Amino acid sequence: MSRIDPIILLQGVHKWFGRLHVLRGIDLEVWPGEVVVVCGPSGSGKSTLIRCINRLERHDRGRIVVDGIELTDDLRHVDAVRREVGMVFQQFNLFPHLTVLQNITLAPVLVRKWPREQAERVARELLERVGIPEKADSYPSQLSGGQQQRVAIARALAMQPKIMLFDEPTSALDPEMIQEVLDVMRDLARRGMTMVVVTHEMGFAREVADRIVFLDEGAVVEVAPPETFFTQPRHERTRAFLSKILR
Amino acid sequence: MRWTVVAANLPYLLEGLQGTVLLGLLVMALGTVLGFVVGIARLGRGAVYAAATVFVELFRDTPLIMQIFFIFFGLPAVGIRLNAFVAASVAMTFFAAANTAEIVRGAIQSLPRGQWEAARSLGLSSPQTLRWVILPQALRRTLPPLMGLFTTLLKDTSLAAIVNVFELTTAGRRVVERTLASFEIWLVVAALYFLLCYPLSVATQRLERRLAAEVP
Amino acid sequence: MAGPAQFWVDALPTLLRGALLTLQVSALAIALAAAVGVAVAAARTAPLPPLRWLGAAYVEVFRNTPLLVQIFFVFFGLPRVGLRLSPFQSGLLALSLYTAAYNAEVFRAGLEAVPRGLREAAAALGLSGWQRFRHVVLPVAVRISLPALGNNFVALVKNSSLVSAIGMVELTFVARDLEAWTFRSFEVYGMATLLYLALVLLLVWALRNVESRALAYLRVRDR
Ligand SMILES: Nc1ncnc2c1ncn2[C@@H]1O[C@H](COP(=O)(O)OP(=O)(O)OP(=O)(O)O)[C@@H](O)[C@H]1O
Ligand SMILES: [Mg+2]
Repeated sequence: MSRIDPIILLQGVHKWFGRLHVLRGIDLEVWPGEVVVVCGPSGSGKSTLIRCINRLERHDRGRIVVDGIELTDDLRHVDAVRREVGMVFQQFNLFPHLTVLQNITLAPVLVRKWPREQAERVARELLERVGIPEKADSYPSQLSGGQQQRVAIARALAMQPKIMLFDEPTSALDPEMIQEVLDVMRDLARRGMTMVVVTHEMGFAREVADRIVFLDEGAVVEVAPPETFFTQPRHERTRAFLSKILR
Repeated sequence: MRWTVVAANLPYLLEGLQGTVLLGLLVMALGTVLGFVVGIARLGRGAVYAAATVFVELFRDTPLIMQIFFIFFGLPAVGIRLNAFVAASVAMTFFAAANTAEIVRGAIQSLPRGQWEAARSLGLSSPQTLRWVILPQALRRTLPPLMGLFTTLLKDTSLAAIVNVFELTTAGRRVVERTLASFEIWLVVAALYFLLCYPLSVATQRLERRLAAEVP
Repeated sequence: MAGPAQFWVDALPTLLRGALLTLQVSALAIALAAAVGVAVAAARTAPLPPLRWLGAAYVEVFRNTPLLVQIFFVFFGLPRVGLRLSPFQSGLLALSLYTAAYNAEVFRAGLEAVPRGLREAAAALGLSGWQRFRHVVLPVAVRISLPALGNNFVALVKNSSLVSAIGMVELTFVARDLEAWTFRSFEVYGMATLLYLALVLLLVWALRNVESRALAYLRVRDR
């Protein structure tokens, strides 16, 4: 059997914001089809970590390799990685001046150079999949938070990424809308998408994650499959965190 | 008071008003185009950013009248000789462009950073992001301040009188020199400017209110 | 003709004297324009409709006519109705009234931006109407207005150059005069421009200090 390479590889990644040492030597491998949940206290560097993976933030030391491409200052590498990596933000970041359909087709038409009809067909399929086909011609401001976030997921999926990054995708949502977004993400995981998810939804993590990464003060404290992570955490800090969050 | 003087000279003043409108429109058009270029350049890095910044600061932080003098009287010293109308137009265009550039930059930077990040993470290049995501949104936000700037520019065309370009203020001065009816003529000149600028001000405020109500 | 060094030895003190006068007229006008601006803003937000109309008319008239024409009107026009002012007085008056219209708009926006809750809290504490205005509403409104007010003051310094058109011997006038004598237009206007830039930057720096002190309460302590 041939060796499989990790689709995301971080080796000794450091990041500073001015004098603030935010990431302190992160080592992490994510395998194709894997769902990795990242959790940790506020300010521990979770967002920074996944934003380094598609270089919304530049890391200062160490290596990041995504789908065989190393992230360097070479902009062609950055563009190549961004084409393969989709991202979903806490604040949705939909383009308010474009309709839902236009939001979704923008990148496939501009970047993938798809004909408009093809892009629209794919967009409508995706809207079907996230459960809001009737909203194609609405503007983002006319949607509820949960619907907006599902559009944002469809928008990222339209580029047919190999990897999806989620940064607290449900944190800005009212409680009754959280499930509809998690359902979409669950479905995505079932279809074999590689996902890195920052979230505090521990029910989702327990059910969907292959591994859970606990980050504290810019370092990986513990990595474990959900059952081990929740039942026999090895580190004191993990236990303290879990006791706070699982109440 | 000699209001008959006003009646007799009104056609001449209106001719001057034409000059004001012409100069104003010219400066608005050229200044807006140049201003967008400079404003976008200020988003860049290195030499492009530095050049755009120097341009903006220089023309925003010094009096327009100095800029006109510099271009009209100063440039001939280095072999560039422009007539008064061209010199005033060039100076005012630069002045307009510097202010437009600030408006454009302000509008672009007022957009949430997440808009850039979302577009870039979808694989759009910087120019694509600017063209399809940022500018369409920023454009709306530039409209009210741009219209405000247009009112300012219309008023500032009066400075062209100082190098004797024929427009409303010059016309007014010539009539006053001839008739000595300074109170009446300057009052009427002011009124004519008001008739030109006030509707623009009102329209600006309306637009401001409408956009404020619309923005999601 | 004198050499370049000698030229600057002669010209620079003259220009600096001009700059000093620009500074004087600007400083006075800034104070006047602030005072008149508060009064007009108060009128614009007054409970009495005629007062509001008067305030609004003031703002619209002064903002929609050129400053240069206002200066000409004051200096050349008013003597015909018996009010004769020197170039300095005319310039100061026009500059102040013109800027006051812009200040009034800034103050008005500031007043409107004062949160309702503050007025209510002050009222609940038993402060009188004037006390509420003087100790709560006005200080907050002024702080809100500061950045925009600063822009108006910077514009005022630049606008003071227009007073040269009625013969006030400030920086612009001096520069034109020097140029007419020496024909060194490039150097003279270049230096005058730099002096204006220096004045403006000085003002911006001063404003920033005032602002950072006045707005200190807004600074959140670092986590
Ligand atoms: N652009 C930035 N400039 C300076 N400091 C930053 C920047 N972004 C983040 N930080 C700091 O870096 C640290 C880590 O931030 P990060 O957003 O990665 O944390 P997080 O784990 O995602 O927190 P949260 O759960 O609150 O989202 C924090 O102390 C934050 O204040
Ligand atoms: Mg975060």
